[in-house]
Amino acid sequence: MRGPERIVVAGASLAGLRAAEALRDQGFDGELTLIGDEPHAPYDRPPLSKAVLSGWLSTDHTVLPRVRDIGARWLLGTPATGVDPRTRQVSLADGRAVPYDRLLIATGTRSRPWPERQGGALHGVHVLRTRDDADRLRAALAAAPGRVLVIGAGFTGGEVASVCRDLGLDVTVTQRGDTPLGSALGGVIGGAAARWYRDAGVDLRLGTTVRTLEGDAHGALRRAVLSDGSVVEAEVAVVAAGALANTEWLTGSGLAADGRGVVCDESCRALADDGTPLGDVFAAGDVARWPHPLYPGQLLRLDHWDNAVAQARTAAHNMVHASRAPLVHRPLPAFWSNQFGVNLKCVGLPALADQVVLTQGSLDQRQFVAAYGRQDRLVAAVAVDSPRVLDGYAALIEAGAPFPPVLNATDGPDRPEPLDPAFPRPADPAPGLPSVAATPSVPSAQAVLAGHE
Amino acid sequence: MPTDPPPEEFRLVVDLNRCQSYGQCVYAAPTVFRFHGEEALEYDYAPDPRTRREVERAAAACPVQAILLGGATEPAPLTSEGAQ
Ligand SMILES: Cc1cc2nc3c(=O)[nH]c(=O)nc-3n(C[C@H](O)[C@H](O)[C@H](O)COP(=O)(O)OP(=O)(O)OC[C@H]3O[C@@H](n4cnc5c(N)ncnc54)[C@H](O)[C@@H]3O)c2cc1C
Ligand code: SF4
Repeated sequence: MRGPERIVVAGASLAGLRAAEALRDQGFDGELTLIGDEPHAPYDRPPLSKAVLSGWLSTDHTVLPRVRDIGARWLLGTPATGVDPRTRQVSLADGRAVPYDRLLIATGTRSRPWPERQGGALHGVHVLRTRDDADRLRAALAAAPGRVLVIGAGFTGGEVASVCRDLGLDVTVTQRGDTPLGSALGGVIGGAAARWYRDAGVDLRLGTTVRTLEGDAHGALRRAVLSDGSVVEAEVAVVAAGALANTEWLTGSGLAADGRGVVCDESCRALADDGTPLGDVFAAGDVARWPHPLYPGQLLRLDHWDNAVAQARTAAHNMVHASRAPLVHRPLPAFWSNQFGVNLKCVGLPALADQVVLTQGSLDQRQFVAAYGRQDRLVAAVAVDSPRVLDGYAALIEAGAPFPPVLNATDGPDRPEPLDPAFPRPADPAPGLPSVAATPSVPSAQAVLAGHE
Repeated sequence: MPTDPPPEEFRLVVDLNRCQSYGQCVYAAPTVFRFHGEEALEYDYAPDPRTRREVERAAAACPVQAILLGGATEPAPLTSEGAQ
């Protein structure tokens, strides 16, 4: 069988770029087109909420290296608006159509916006996903607002609040759950994170949502009314309350896609809405949901850097060599976050756990390691300011090691005491924002989303 | 709008999952890499071209090979074709 002659990649960011490079590495020598709606060459997002916001790095210094020549046609600043799998064409906003033999969907996610009827259109209300978002938010912070309101204490919310405190700005953070990072890491580790917020001088409002944002006569944000009736005066608000997959452009294509992502199989082939995989459409990165062999019975979406890179490579391989033994995308999930002066790294999927145990250090110190178990197997580990230990845990998780893990750490507790990790339950009343990405992930849930938000 | 960088410009990225904060890169190229707090590495993806030798040394010194340098010779993508 002849290989593909024309490959189109929709979404020109981390996954799209790395996939394009991998396609050439795999020997694809046909026509390669990258379509991106942003007017920028591929750049990296993680620094946007860290070194860019603090002012150390300008956004033009976040451009990703291109690791090899790819001889591609780049259509930047050009949204894809549709795909027809029968005629194998992607249509663009400017009316053009780009034919393909293989298509990779890598359009990622966007921040869930604040509803307009609750003040989302006010000047001073920000999200943080793109370079342009970061430039706007950086300028707003540099103008020394009296107070910044951060809605959501997930990873992005924590990073933004932490930078604000470094800049000497007053910050209020609202969090629907009982602790920061609760849906990702559970309430035990989240409780430690709450201390980081408070020690840094953040006004942290737990179990609280924002009812509405209010502006002045000029449409500029002035205050927020919270669910407990209290009022927070703030000129800048950052909405960090989950992510939505960029799949609207696939409406009507017959692909299984919605706001949670594009469903694909374990070899990255996109599924039609009747559940059959297409041989010529693939998905990778933040937009993809798939049945991870390590976590049966659910569709996983991992909004993490590591996954975008790995899934892009697997998809590229399978796009070129699909009919022969396709590669299976079965990474051990991994991500990092830097906030409040600590480095947090995670491997595995904490949200699946029914137990957590501190294995090194102590929660009050800002240096510890926690291991997560499910049905007496190690499933995840989180390391706070302990980046050198995680490889060992990753190997144990991959090996299906028992929980609590047997380690000979010198700084470990004498007797490990496993606790309930305290993940929010779906039945918990969840006032405020309707949320998909922040849905608590439990083993029985249909969908697990582990994101940076 | 981004413009073509002159050929001597270079780019880098660090795989921060792999990075173990050993700090060798900070010693080798202190204007490009730094720590924020004890363990959180920050770096410039597009440093001054004159730091290139230092950054190459940093990449070689990194014990976990987490630093990736750009290797493309073709010009950076432009927005012009898409904007027609
Ligand atoms: C502020 C921030 C901080 C982060 N920090 C970390 C971190 O510390 N650690 C970590 O592991 N991960 C982090 N992440 C997550 C990481 O950046 C993502 O996992 C990664 O960017 C995913 O890459 P992607 O290419 O799949 O999607 P994206 O980077 O979202 O790229 C998708 C691209 O497709 C474009 N697009 C969308 N629709 C269309 C269309 N119809 N036509 C054409 N183009 C389209 C988008 O504009 C975008 O350019 C962070 C993310 C953000 C936003
Ligand atoms: S030398 Fe490598 S491991 Fe050490 S801090 Fe730099 S990138 Fe990280």
